[in-house]
Amino acid sequence: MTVDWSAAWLTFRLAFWTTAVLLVLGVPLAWWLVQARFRGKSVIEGLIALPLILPPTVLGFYILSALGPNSVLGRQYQMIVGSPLPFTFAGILVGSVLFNVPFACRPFMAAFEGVDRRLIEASWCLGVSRIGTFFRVVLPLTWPGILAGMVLTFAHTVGEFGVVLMLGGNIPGRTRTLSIAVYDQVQALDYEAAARTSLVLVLISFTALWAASRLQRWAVSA
Amino acid sequence: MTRALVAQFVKRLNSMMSLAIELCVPADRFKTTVLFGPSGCGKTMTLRCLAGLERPDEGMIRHGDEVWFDADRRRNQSPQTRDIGYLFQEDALFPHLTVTANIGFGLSRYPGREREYRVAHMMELLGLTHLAKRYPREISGGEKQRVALARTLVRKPRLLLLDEPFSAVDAPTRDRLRAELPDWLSAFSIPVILVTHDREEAVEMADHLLVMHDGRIICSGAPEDVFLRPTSLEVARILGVETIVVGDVIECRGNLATLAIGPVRLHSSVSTSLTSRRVHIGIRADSIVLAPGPVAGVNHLSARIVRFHLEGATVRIEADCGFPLVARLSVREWRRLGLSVGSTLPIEIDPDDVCILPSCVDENGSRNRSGTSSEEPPKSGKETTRRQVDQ
Repeated sequence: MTVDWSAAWLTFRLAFWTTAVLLVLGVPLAWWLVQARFRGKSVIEGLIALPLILPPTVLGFYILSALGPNSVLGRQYQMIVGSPLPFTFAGILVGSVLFNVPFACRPFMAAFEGVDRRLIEASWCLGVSRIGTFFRVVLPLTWPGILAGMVLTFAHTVGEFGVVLMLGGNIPGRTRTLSIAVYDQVQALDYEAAARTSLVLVLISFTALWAASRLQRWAVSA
Repeated sequence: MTRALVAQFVKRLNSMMSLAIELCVPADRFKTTVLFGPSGCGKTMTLRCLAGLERPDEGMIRHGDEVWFDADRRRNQSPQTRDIGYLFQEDALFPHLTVTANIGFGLSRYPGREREYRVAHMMELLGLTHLAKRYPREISGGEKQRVALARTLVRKPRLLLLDEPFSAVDAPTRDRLRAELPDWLSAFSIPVILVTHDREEAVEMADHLLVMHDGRIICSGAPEDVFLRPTSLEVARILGVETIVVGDVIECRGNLATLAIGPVRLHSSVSTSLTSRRVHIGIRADSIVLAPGPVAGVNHLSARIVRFHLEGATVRIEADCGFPLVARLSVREWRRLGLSVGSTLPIEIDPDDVCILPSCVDENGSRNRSGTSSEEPPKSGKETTRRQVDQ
């Protein structure tokens, strides 16, 4: 059974790194949004939710405009790294991270909002710092929800198409993920290969959704 | 030099209400100060400002030499560094930790063995040793509050702030905790500020009582003084003085005034000169005595019983003695005297217990409060209406 293993490995790498980046950046962002009380908050929450309804190709196009070889940031990047951002793994990673912000941050925020504020205040009054409170009180109570967000992000990245295509350009081994491979295979009329690849994708997605729902249920019962 | 917690701050809560607090609490010995007032008067918000959980808009809060909050200098110390203990109304125990871990939560600066020792000692003191390995969801409400108290006391804070700590537990547990609390607290010599809306709790626990109303402290003093001689109409209402009527001052000779309430004449002992003729008069139900015989120097009246309610161990009697009056009798006395609706009985009221209640504004229109010395900003529309009614 031939499955495009380089595409599979690339897909895995993309999903893994997207999830990792969003864990490191998304958790503090989500925590800050839940804690802070200021007037522009709903604007930022709206921005976070935007990729849910924005067509992926549109988002890909905007990122290309902002970070492509013709933009200010893009040229800076090219000077530092040596190659332009589009058509590289780094390029599709940036697109993937931005596109998955709501899939990570919204479950994170939901988990944090479920923590009774009095527990946090009690911890402060017992002399524990804000960061200490986060790691000793908030995280132990919310980690199932955070894990659910991570699983969702991973699964969503595996299924990405539009953003990766816009920024990656379908280069085998470098930016050709499983979902793009299916598209290619159908275009080349190789329906057998397309069927195999699609099955792999469905299995991964299904497993991820099952895991996420189990975690959500666990989080609620705890 | 005695160390004290001095606070003078203003906090705007919403368009209707703001908080303007001035207090001074000694901070170097065990003493319980109670903030007492009806729901919504701002007691909890005041406590939270003292703890550093809320930030006032103006003013300052100082503990001894340390400035905890100063609006002008933009200084606001976090609750972590104020070294206080705060007890919430209910259940702020960490659900993912055992009782032992909860109690030891704030002791991370101590090495493991010393932490264990302190926690064990505290559990023994508060009778919690048998619950050591349980989780908060496995223990009762009263036990949870005891654990919460242990958790704050084990750090030996400089000040203890209790926010209606017994309101969420059932009555027998509440009575037991109320009886045990002073023993525990005095063992630690920690000054305490306790917030409550329960009258009995305020009288039982307070060394010093602050009565709050509508965001302001309107009266302060020893509980007996505050309760026996309410200093204003608002205070009397908050303290639950049962009989409040309007009357006229007919005569004032020395420190005895004669009041007219309808056709009835009452003597009241006064210590200050009276500024207006029409006054509010308050009589506490428990100060009314059945007159065994004519005793000189007290007020004698004849009361006809209109209505009565059984309230636990006492009977609340609504009577008419020329004006509506509320009295209280024990159930045994009630039965012994064979009273019922329509019965007439002689009653006796000491002139000390006939209280003349000025309203919060005297004739000059300026604030008039006992226990604190400064003026306060004008308040909401509610106050203005009441002022008009009183005059």
